[in-house]
Amino acid sequence: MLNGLRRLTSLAMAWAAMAVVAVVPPAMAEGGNVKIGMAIAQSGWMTAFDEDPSMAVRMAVKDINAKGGILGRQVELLVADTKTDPTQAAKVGTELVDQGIDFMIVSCDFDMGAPAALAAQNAGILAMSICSGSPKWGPQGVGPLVYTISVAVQAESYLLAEWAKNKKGWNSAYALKETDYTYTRAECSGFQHHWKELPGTKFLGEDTYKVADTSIAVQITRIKALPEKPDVILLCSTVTAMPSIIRQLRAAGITTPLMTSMGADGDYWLPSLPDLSDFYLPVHASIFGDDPNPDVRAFMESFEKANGRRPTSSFALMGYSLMQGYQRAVERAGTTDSEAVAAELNKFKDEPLLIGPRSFTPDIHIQTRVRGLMMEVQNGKMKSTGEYYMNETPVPFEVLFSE
Amino acid sequence: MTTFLQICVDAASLGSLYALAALGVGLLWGVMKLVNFAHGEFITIGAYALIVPSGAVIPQLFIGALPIWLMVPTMCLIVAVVALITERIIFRPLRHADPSTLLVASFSLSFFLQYLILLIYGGRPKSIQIGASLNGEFAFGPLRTSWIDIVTISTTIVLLIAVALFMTRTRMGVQMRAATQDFRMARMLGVRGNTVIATAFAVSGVLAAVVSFFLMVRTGALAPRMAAPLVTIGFIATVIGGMGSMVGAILGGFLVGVVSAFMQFILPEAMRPNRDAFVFAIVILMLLVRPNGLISLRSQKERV
Repeated sequence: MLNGLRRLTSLAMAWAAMAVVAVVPPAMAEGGNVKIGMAIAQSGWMTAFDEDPSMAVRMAVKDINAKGGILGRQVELLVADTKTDPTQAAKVGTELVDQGIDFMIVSCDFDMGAPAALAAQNAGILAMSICSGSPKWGPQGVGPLVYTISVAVQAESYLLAEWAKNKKGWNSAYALKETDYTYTRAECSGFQHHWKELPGTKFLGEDTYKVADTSIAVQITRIKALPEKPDVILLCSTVTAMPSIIRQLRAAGITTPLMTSMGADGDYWLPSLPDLSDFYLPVHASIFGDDPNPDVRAFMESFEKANGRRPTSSFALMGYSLMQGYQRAVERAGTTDSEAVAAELNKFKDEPLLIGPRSFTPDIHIQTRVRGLMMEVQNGKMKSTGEYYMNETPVPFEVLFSE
Repeated sequence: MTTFLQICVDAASLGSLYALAALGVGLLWGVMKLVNFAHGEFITIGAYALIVPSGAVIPQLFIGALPIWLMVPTMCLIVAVVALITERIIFRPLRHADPSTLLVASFSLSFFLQYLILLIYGGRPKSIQIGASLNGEFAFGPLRTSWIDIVTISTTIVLLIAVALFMTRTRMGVQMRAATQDFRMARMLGVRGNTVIATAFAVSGVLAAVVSFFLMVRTGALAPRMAAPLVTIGFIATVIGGMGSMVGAILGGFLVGVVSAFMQFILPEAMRPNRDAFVFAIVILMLLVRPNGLISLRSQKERV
């Protein structure tokens, strides 16, 4: 009996203790560190893509803390492994929310990152993808508190179309589309849409292939049979398939200039193409030490110093820029309250971040215009042309969600 | 007419590698009724063996730096050894298990090897160049193809003949076929079951390595999940060809390639992204007409 009573008392005390924890006013939480949760892949295939941007987040946090933090509060980074698994992403997302984070940084891939962002959105916490190019980060997808620092793939296609026409004077284009992924499908459809709008251009057609196609002989036969030779061929391809596609095109004697999106940033896919020339792409920044922007060059150097190697691609910059953007929005809002910070983010209009200008609106939480540094590959070497280009026409809303 | 002939050549180009992948898959099915999902990983391991094991994004050639006459046998040796190890550790203890257990085991092995590759080499695709001279264009009259296609097709034919001769003319081959018919009876008559099955695994490993070589010469792209689509087509090809028939597997592989290539050419632009739906609709139609595949073997039928 006494025992039972004692147990009851301790239970009641435990309840009371929990109640005390629960009623800590939010104002007190505001006084502590700014807690940022980072739900990224630290194992599985996605690690390769989350790694560099998350390293850059750590660099940015260090820089911010060294300069006195955000609103005078130190930034505390809580990292959780999504293991390249959507279920695990939902789990760690919820766990981070339970740890009282103010802001959540999520994985580079929509499928792998969205479940974590959804946990944040449901708890009323701001979330931002570290480098995914899906328009579903935002009110039309996961929710109004969810953003991506990256750009819509169609914006890259708009940029390519305008650059090809205005800067290169190319008038006829052909496209090869990898149909396995939304990314590559949207890239080609965005391009076709805008190319046809530009005056004096001709679209000679589009062909498709799948990653599993070990030969694109039929597609090559079709290109060779075109009534006129295109000025440029757009490759809507992932880097997995691209070397093979390029190799087969060039081996068949097709020397037409080729261009592709920012997905091919970095030169790690080039060793199999030592003779590649006349290949063009926009990137966020050059990782080869020849970027026109001294701040970018400084970032690349400190990245190498901190991590013992240069970044694999300029996607690394997104991690740094994401923190820059968050810091500015919080400081303008004067609070880490997610709704208030989101309202400030929505006011971004060509906000100059390390990665380039960023804009958000209450409806669109991804970039519809993108500034790219144009790169070229000649004799198997990728280098900066030193030229920036930004698409003048933003991607219209309906194109953003079409494939 | 030239275009039609050219598409035929292109179709053979796509079909030849499918055929080779199907041969490896079909062999293990024929001998031990094993749907080996890890066959794709055997191919992947063969390809990754070409580079120095490391997570570095820019790969350094390892076996890939050897001359071709040394490179290909080394790849075959490595993959055959891996295949033998998996047979000894996983499939031999499960010899008398239910077919569904074997299926799950091969699935698990496939995942295990995939993650092992991921752990050692990292998840980012890598690209290398080997056998560059094979990628050159080969023209006869108005038709064109590449050397690698010629080499792949001839290798497929040579390997098919070699496997067929092995099966009919050698002691081991005859024993293997006996084991296919009735494993227990064959053992009672003195066939050494372990040796027979280990040999089948080793041969399937060699076939996988040959696919890795051709795949790497063509694409040069390494990724942990690179061979999965190829092997899926290999499975489909063995079903179309007739389960257990080597010739059937090769025919099936070619057929999938040929139908894909023609669909790619015939379909209008708007329908081309859904090419595979048409390809597999044809496969289903074909199976409705010939449920046992192109070549149906008596030994594969259930006996009452």
